This record gives sequence, structure tokens and C-alpha cells, in this order.
Amino acid sequence: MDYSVVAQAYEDMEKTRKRLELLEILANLFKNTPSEVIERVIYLTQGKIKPDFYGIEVGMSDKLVMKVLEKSTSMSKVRIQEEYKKTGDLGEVTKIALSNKIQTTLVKDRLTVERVYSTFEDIANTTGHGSVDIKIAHLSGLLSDCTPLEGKYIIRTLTGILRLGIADYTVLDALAVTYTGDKKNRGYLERTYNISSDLGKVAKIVAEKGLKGLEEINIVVGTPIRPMLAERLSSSQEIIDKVGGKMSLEYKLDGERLQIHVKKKQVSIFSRKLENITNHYPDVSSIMSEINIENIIVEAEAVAINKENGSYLPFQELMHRRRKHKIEEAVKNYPISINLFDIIFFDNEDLTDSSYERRRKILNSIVKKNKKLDIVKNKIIQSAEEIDNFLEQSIEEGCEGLVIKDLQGTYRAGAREYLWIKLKREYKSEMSDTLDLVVIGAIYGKGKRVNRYGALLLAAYDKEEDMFRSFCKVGTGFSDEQLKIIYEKLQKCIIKDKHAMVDSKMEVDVWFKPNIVLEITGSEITISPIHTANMNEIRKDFGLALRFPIFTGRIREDKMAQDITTTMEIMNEYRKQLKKVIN
Amino acid sequence: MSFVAKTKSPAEWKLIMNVVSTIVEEPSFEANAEGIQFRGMDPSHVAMIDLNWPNASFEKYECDKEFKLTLRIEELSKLIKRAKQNNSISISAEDDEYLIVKLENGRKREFQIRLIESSQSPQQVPKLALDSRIVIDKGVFEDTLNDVGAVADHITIETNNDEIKFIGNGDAGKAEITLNKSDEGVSEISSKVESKATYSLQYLLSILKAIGTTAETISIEYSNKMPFKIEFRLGEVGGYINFYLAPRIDDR
Repeated sequence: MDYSVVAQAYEDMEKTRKRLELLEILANLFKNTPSEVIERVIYLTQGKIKPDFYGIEVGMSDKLVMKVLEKSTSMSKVRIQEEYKKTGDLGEVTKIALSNKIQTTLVKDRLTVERVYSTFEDIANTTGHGSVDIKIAHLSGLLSDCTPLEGKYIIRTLTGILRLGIADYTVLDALAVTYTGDKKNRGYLERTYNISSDLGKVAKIVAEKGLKGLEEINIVVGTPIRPMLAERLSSSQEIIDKVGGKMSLEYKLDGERLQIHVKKKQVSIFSRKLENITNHYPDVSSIMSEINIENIIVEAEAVAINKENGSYLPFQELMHRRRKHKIEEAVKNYPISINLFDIIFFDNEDLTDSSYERRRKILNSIVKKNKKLDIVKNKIIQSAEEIDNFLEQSIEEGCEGLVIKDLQGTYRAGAREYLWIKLKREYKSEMSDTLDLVVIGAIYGKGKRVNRYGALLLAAYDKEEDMFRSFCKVGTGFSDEQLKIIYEKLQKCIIKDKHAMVDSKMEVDVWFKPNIVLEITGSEITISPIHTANMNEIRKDFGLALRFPIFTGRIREDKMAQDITTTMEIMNEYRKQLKKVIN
Repeated sequence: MSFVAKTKSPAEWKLIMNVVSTIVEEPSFEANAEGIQFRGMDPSHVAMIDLNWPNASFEKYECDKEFKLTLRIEELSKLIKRAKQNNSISISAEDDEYLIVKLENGRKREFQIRLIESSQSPQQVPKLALDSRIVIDKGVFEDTLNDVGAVADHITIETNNDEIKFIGNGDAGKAEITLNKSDEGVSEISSKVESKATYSLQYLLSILKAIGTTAETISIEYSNKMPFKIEFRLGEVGGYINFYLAPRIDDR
């Protein structure tokens, strides 16, 4: 099949934004595509050579493309850069360069889809010593046989900027029209897509075997399925109105959603976008491979945790895992907890048609057997007030909010429906300044922090009542040296019971006389069911707390306990910074 | 199964390394009972080299099956450069893993370089019937190219009967060099029809530089808006290197 047919279709698509026209152009392109190449045409149209989970990227850098243009067209480096600055699109630059080409070539080979695709594969597979020159040679070869229009789309595809404005659903519609004669059949194709995550494969099957062929496709452990998604509502009352009756509230952890496949102890891990990220989580692989069941697909949230006290850390901490080298080091320095929240496949049974209740029960049995796995905290409730209380509790523990799930809901791969509803808070109060807080208690450290404190309980000062009220528990930001100094200083402050001027509902290993003052930053002030600062002032039975507190490194020896941040200042800060959360 | 090709001196190998490296970095040489051949194009398909080095040119030549020897030319080049003028060079292979290079003159020196997988598809030599032919001293031709290169980055060649014009048009100005049949260094000018075509100087200059002093005269063929061909001898008995260059669209 000539690549010019594909390039012309792209060009036509670029000229319209109307979905129906896009659909028509696409269906027409598919009609002109022999079934042996439909898979490749689909991938190219998606700007890929394989679905993301294969982990194969064509990715050619702008710099490299410009080098090829300079070499294989007569356009000068300066002019290429000028045109690039003007258009911001190397595809356009290529088109201009090829239109102004004054150097002819000795031979002209036919530019087929097959050739473009296999050259892209060659470029993607070229690695190591001398690979840059080989990639340049591959691309120069293609460009020497290109028309300006073909060149434009080849370069856009290679540099990852082929924006055709077509959603997966438009592709499915076009496939349904082309191969079944009716758009209504999209549902059948969609089902296959949702469990295979591979539009090319769907196209190939329907092109070769029609709708019948699609029925033969089942979930394959090792191939990701498109994740079920949650709708969003903005208040607990809306949720009660929408769902009603009993529902399950689950913590929405601030981590990375993982789809974990285990096939005979062989573990593959996929991101929400279905990239293969097995390499980022060797720790998850080793734990999951211990599960003694032949085939499993579970979903989990990986959350960075504080090494000493196990509390959740913000999502950004997980970014240390996104690297190619020294991953073992990252695993050691940035430990995570694996929080399972769903199961899709278990011991050769496809669970997508089972209820949430049943799936959760099976999950519980797995977590019971393996102590290294956690299960996402949940609560079965039926009132709006219970939702609000659980929401605040989740926020304070470092979560993003809640996901509310229908107990009878099945697992609807790839669907965003009201069987799952996410709820985040409406307001948040971001911290702009540091706080000075006094140490009132501590929890013993583990591991490296034996004979040190793992986390310190800190309080703010309530001037009116002359009390120290608990405000946060901090375990981050300390150097080994500082831990030692603070530990030694605190030894002199140990008292047998909670100090009379201290107000706290927390359990700790040691209580102190309020004396040592530390400078602390945090992400925001939140409503808390466990801390006692400003208790009952915003909501009954709730105080205020600092979310994600970090020690700045400064021990405020210059400050007395009564000089620290007051609860009134905290309340002012909370009110001042309160902003509507844009969800 | 083996392949051995021995020459008395490194001269031809040096020439081949220089010439081939002007267009490809990973050439595939073919060795068979007849000799060694290479055919390859630069990545943009503008220039081609077609090389034939027959078995009779060698002091010793054995090849009992076809070998495809793909290598990084930079790596082989480095080894060839290790050879002194009076060293014999023996190149051999037994499998498609390694090429063995032996340099001998009293001391025996042996090197191995790793062969790589070929990424190029086989090329056809363009079938061309070219109208104009010039046989010229290599030095005179190179001089003329450099004259034109002083003002332009491309050269227009015009022939009619006894006369050739080399014209350069650049942003800075113009150059025109005229050669007649009777001029010193010009052995032949013949054109069936008047011919005019434009070529990139960069390719021509780099190939002439690669040829170096190994050829005294070279023969050039071209036609109206058609490729340009340079032919020169390789070794003593029927070996050749042909260089083809595609024209530019006009004389802009």
C-alpha cells in the first residue's frame, strides 16, 4: 500500500475538526487499506509502532531530524532553525525543505506503508554504539523517496507530534463502519479494545474474521486491560442522591495506579496509561511473585512512604522511581507501600463480571496471606455525614480524597461511569510560611533510627488557654546528625505522662515537657479528626493539622515554648490561604 | 570455508577505505570466487560507488563461497593505516563473525575486527547512456573544481564539441573556466549532443580528495540533467571504481 494514501488522509483530517468528517475520512482510509496492513496503518495513525505497553518508542529527537534535513535536503542549518522557530513544527519544515529540494537522487524506490513502518521499527530498534549514524541513514533513505506531503507526516510521526485529533472511539467507529457496515457495532469492537488495549489487534481481527472473530478474544494475563475509571461529583450529598443505600468509601491514595499481572510468577506492571513500568518497581515484582496462584491481575496504588513511621508521602516522591539506572538504589531510598484495591483476574477466572463485594473479598484473602501487601482502607456507609468525616480523615492521612464504589458494581474495563465516583475536597489551605512548633511526644525509630526517634509529635500554642495542642507528627527532613542532637536534647525533657499543659489524643512512646522548638514547613493546613489544635472551631470534633510536615533543619534554640506559632495564627493562616480546589 | 585476499602493499586498500568512507559508514563488501565487490549509496541516495576488484589483482586470492563482509569502515581503516608502504596485507574470514587482517614484513602482525549485520539493501547500478565524455588529468580537474568552489557550492558543466565550460554561480559572484581539447592535461572531449548539468561540489571534492594521487587521469561522463560518472582504475588488471552523482535540479 502506498504511503501517499495515508499521508493524504492525514492531510484531509488536519483540515477539519468535525467528528463526522474525521470519521468519514478515516473510514475511507480503512476501506483503501488491505487487511494485511490495517494493523500497521492503525498504529501509524496513533503515532506509534506498537501499543504503549510494548515499550517500543520511535522517538527521534528534534536535533537529529534537523541534522537529517540538513544532510538530505539543500536547506541550510540556519534556515531550518528559522523555519522551525516560525512554524514550531518539524513536519512543516520538512515539507518546505522537500519542496525546495534542488538535489535529485540516483534511484527512486516506492514509498509503501510497509517500508515506512519497517524503517520506523529499524530506527526504534537501533541502539548502542554508532546508533545515531544508523538512525540518520534510515531516515535519510526514507526522505529521499518522499514527496513533501509524505515527508511532513513521516517526521510528525517520528517526533511524536502527529496530532490528528482523533480519539480511540473515532477509530473504533471507523472500523465498525468499514468492516461491519454499521457504526452501531462499535460496542463489540470496544469490548475487545478494552480488554486488549490494542486498536491494531482489534482492527486486524475484525478485518480478517469480522465480528465473530472478536468474540474469541479474552483477557490475557500479561496484556494490560484498559482501566475502569471514576466519574466525579463534588459533594457528599450529590453522591447520596446519585447512589443511595450502602456504598463503599475507599481512600484515594496519592500514588501511582498500577495494574499488576502475575502469570506463573512472572510479573508485569502497567501504568494507568498502560505503559510497561515493571522496571520501576522491582520490589512490587518480588512481592507479587510470592503469591502462589497461577494467574492474577490486580490493581493497586503504589504510595511513597516514610521509611521510619510508614506514613504516606506526596506523589512527587514516587518520581524517583522513574529512571533507567540505579533503580535498586531508588527502591532502597524511596520505599513504597502496595495498596491493592481491585482484582480483575484470579486463578484462571475473569472477575470483571463479579460484584465489587466479591472482588474485595477475594482481595482480602490474598492480603491476609501476604503480609507485605496492604489493602486500600475502606468503610461501608450510608450517610452524607459519614462521607464527609471519612473524607477529612483521608486527607489528613495524606490521601487525595475518596473513591465511592457501588457494592454491586462489576469491573467495567475502559469505562468512566457512576459505579465509581471520586470525591476530592472543595477547599484547601496552602502553607506560605514556616511554623515554629514544640515537641511534646515521640515514637521510637526503627532500622537505621534505632536509639533515635522515628517521628516527633508537635504542638502549637493556644495562648488563651495556655495549652499546647497537637498539630502534626513529623518524621521527614532530619539528617542523621540532627536526629542525634535532637534525641540527646529530648532525653532531658522526658516525663512519665502527658504534660498537664499538653492536649493530645495521640498515642506516643514517650512524652516530653514542651521545650524543644523546631521549624517546620508543610504543604497545607487541613481539617483533622485526630489533632487537637483549634478543636471544634471549624467543625465539631475536628481540629486542624499540618499535611505533609517537614523539618526545615533549624532547631529554634532562640525560642521558648511560649514563643511558638499560636493556634490563632494557624487559624488565620488556614482562613487566609483557603482556596477552592480546582478538580 | 574461507576467504583470503593478499596484496603486496596497502595502497589499494587505503584508496578503497578513503573512497568508500566518503559515502557510507557501514559498507558491505562482497567476496566471491571472482573477487571483491562493493556497491553502495550514501544515505540520501545522491551518490553511489560501484567497485570491482578482480581476483587476478591479488598476490593470493582464495574464496570458496560468498562472503558478505559488513563492517564499520572507521575500524578497518584504522588497521589499514597501521601498515607501512612495504607491508603486505592479507585479509581473511572464516565465518561472519570476524575479519582477520594480517600485516607482514618480517614481523607478523594480526588483527581481528568484528563484522556487523548489514542494514542496507542491495543496490542496482543505474543504467545510463551518457552523451559527453571527458578524459582529464586528475590534477587539472581538481584545480578547476577548486576554482569554482571559490565562489559557489555547486558546479555547472557545459560541453559542446571541443570545449567544456565549468561555471560557478554563488551569492558572492561567478566563475567560468573553459577547457579546450588542445589544453594541457585534457586528453579527450567528446559529446554526442550538447550537455549541461549541475552538481554539488561537496561530493565531487570529497571523492577527488579520496582518490588522492593514486590516479593520474580520470574519465568523466555525464549528460544533460543526468547523473555524473567518474571512472578510475583499481589495481593493474581490470579493477575499477565508478562513482555516480545525481544532478541538482537547476543551476540556481
